[in-house]
Amino acid sequence: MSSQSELNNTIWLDFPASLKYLNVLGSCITALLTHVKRLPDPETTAYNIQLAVHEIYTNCALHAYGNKPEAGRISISLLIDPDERFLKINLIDTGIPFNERLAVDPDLNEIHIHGYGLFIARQLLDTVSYQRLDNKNSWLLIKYFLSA
Amino acid sequence: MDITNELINDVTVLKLGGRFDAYAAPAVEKFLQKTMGDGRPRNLIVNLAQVNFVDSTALATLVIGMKHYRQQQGELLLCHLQQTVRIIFELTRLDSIFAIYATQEEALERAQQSLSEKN
Repeated sequence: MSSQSELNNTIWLDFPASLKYLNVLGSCITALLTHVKRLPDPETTAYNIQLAVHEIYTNCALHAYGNKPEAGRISISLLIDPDERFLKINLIDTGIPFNERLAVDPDLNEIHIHGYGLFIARQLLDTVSYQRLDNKNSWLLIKYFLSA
Repeated sequence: MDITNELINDVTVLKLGGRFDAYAAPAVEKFLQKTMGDGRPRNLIVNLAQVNFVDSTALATLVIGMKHYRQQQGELLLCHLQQTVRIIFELTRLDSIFAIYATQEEALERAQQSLSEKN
């Protein structure tokens, strides 16, 4: 896919680092997915993607910015590829680096209070990757759609 | 999110509605703390029938609540989970930790039974 084609299909969202607008992000994702004509089990698929993205966004707001909306912004790009094979989402914040020690999956035989967020995102998406680039936290999320 | 509660035969029923997420969780936590104050064994039913979204912060709030209730020889029971909401409980295997009932009536029956066993 050419970069121009990607650009023509990419949606950009820019949020203050606040949990207040989580519902707006959720609605955007659900609305965007209505453009995928053969989305398998649309309600569940949309819910699961929304939950996964929501977990990463919450991680950015709470950990990168310390739950201070004035501390910075979270930029999000969403792209459904023209063949409707996958959804690619990139979240970028300028907060403190993600502590990769937190990336360990929880032991599901124990009851935990924290540590489920990233695990849930990994379970629901095909790619969840993190990079520290140019003093920014960059999360790449990809969900492939199987044919209905 | 919408939060209402009522007392039915000594069992508090907390009804939540809307999105139970990181933004809404502090209000639920505050309610739970209020109901746990006096150290008396109590049972609480959280009715999630009108909740259309649950994230890991909400889950953490419920886990904390469950632990506190257990410390006071009480129980925190859940009921009426929507199918999509159930996913997060299954992924984290917390569906086997929480007492989850299909209906509020079933949860009430269990809560009242456990109260009478303790009295």
